[in-house]
Amino acid sequence: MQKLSYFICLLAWSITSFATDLTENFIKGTPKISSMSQLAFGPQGILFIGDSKSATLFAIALDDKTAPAKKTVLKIADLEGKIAAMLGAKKSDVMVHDVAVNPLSKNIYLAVSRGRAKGDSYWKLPNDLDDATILIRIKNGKEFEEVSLNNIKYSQVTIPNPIDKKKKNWRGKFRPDVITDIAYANGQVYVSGLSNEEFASTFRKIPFPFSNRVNSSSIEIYHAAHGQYETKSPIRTFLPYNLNGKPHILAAYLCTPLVTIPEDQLKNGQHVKGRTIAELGMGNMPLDMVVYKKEGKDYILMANTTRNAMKFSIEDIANTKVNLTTKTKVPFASEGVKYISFPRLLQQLANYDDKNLLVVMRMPNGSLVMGLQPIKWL
Amino acid sequence: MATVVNTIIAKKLLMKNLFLFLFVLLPQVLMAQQPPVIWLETNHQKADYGVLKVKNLPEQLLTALRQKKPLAQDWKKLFPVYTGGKKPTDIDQPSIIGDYFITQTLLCFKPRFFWVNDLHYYCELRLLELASFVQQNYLFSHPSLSYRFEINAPSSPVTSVTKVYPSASALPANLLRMYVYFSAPMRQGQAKKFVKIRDANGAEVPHVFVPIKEELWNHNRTRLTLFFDPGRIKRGLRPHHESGTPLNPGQVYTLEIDKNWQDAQGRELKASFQKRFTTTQADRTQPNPKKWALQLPKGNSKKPLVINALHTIDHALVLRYLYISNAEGQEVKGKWSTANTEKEIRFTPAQQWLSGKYTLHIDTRLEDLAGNSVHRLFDVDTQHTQTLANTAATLTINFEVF
Repeated sequence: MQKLSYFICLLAWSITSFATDLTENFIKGTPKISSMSQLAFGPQGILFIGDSKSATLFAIALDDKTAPAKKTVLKIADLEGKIAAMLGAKKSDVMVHDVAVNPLSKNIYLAVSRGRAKGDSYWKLPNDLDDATILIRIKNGKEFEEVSLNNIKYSQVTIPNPIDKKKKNWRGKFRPDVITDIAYANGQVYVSGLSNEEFASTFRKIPFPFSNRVNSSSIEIYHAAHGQYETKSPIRTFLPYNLNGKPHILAAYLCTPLVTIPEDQLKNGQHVKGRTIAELGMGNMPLDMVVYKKEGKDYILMANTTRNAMKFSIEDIANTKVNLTTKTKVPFASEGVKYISFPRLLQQLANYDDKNLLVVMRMPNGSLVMGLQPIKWL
Repeated sequence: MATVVNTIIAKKLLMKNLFLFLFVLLPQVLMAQQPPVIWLETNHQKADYGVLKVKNLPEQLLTALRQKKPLAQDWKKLFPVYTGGKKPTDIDQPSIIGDYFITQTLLCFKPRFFWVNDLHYYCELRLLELASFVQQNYLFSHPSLSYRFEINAPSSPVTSVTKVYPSASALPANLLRMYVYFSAPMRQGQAKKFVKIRDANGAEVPHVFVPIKEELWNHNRTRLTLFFDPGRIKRGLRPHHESGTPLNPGQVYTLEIDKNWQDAQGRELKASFQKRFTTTQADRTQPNPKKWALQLPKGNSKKPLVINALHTIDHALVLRYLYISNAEGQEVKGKWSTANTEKEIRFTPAQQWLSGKYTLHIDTRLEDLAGNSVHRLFDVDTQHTQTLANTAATLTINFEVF
């Protein structure tokens, strides 16, 4: 019975979501995007672009819904070199900020900037260095082209109360962290980042299609490596996921706590406490997370700045009783939910199809490689 | 008779044909023969600086292109522009993104981002494909036309070291400062790397200068002051006891300025610079203006006032610590300089000297090469030595011009 009602719900949801054109209330024009901080795809090939600088979330209707005719071979040995050639720049000046795969066309979208020299960040993360203003599409695994945002169909919503442009600490300015990650699920866009409140770490739920409604909750977690409760540091990467049948947000933080937050607690104006289920070691920034299915079970792959990629079993996360509230005993050690270290320095992750993940990784020779990681080898 | 008529007709025909040839056919032939030319607009003053241009394309072709409005994906097949300075070996190398547009007579390309200084570029105008794109037939001498270019090729070096003070070749071992003059503003923060003192064997003498991160430059960075470590020069101080004096007496040293030092424009120096000097015993005497001999100029002349100081004076401080006033107490405008290895101080007035009384004002902070000022010695054993007691801030010397 439960299963049946689940199917009915799914059916009803799929009818409504496919029958109605979600771009109905979109306007035609040129969106004023100042920094493409984060990219994510929603339904109907809609691309969400999070813009930290202008504190705006954009939804772009891309005319890119045709499924690929044949299987694409994707192996780009020198991604930065290719983009540099396109922008007439030096390879060392090119920066890839985020990568997303259009689930319909399998075309790859990249937010890119030129000019790394302006960077003022300790962590030297893409967001901090320069504003990504170029949207690039890779077609058929090798054809690079710029996606023009002139005179397109789009919709936008303002992120309320973003962290002030002037605020900074010894690591640099906070403003690039207004939007640290975005994801679409359950008819809404989830946005993590910093607000201008005292408890700056904020998680926002924005119903899509956009009205003016944005639900913001401040988030508090126990940071075991630091031995304290924290509200200032933003979520770096997250995934909406159903744990034991209930929607949750799985979130990873700088230095490196892994936290679960029940989705239903995230209500406008609420202060929400996450449960720290793992401490993955200091001196590291989580970059990206994807969930993939292998032999009927779900796993999470997480990319890091200064540690190998980490593989978690969802089963372990769902069943864990861990709730870290004491300081990590050994510096740089990990505690809590176990992971398997996957020996790759991945910089970007995206779901490609049910057999492959899209990965962007830094090779020992310094070049940035984009390719497909077969799930069967994970 | 017939021949005469024939010649006249022939002449007329010739004239007519010549007219036809000169004014109708020749221009057409010339026009048709002008091959397309690609070039980069390098004039900074022009609004379209940096635009890549093609001229001499047939007018019908331009008109057809204007009507057909090729898209970005068409243009990158017809007129791609690449980085690398040559035809790319990787067939998948993307071409540079930018705007293609057609003016009255030109086909133009403006890159989305301006050309980068030290990158090489290559473009290829595919003439046959261009013609077939608009379904026209043209006879081009070549199927395509290529052009290599770069922006702001590194210009040849022009900046050099013009002078170093002190100019004498024998200097006291307790030398405090050196001044290096450049012909153009220099890049800051490089001195430590490019300025060296070497001993007679060519080995670098380490830590001779005080490390000052900001470096001691004049306002437009054409004069650098090298400051020998005073803590090592002054006897009785710890650095002196631990490391000794930077320079020792009776030695041969070379001040070396490396040509790899870039000026403010990023150009290297024309040549390396060397100044060889020997060191004498430490100078522990003060400059004494009371002994200065003045060589007075004549009135109604612009001849300099020449002061024989008998003692080598710090070049830069002469420019700062001396001035002359007239009988009314107003400062006389003019230029201070040094000569005869800075033993001679000269003042050349801006206007002619007028007859009358003048006063030379000497700030007692005026120093010699070893930092001994008119006011006091730089390094003195206060328990055993008596110094000249010039406690006044200024000394004056009166003179009269006739």
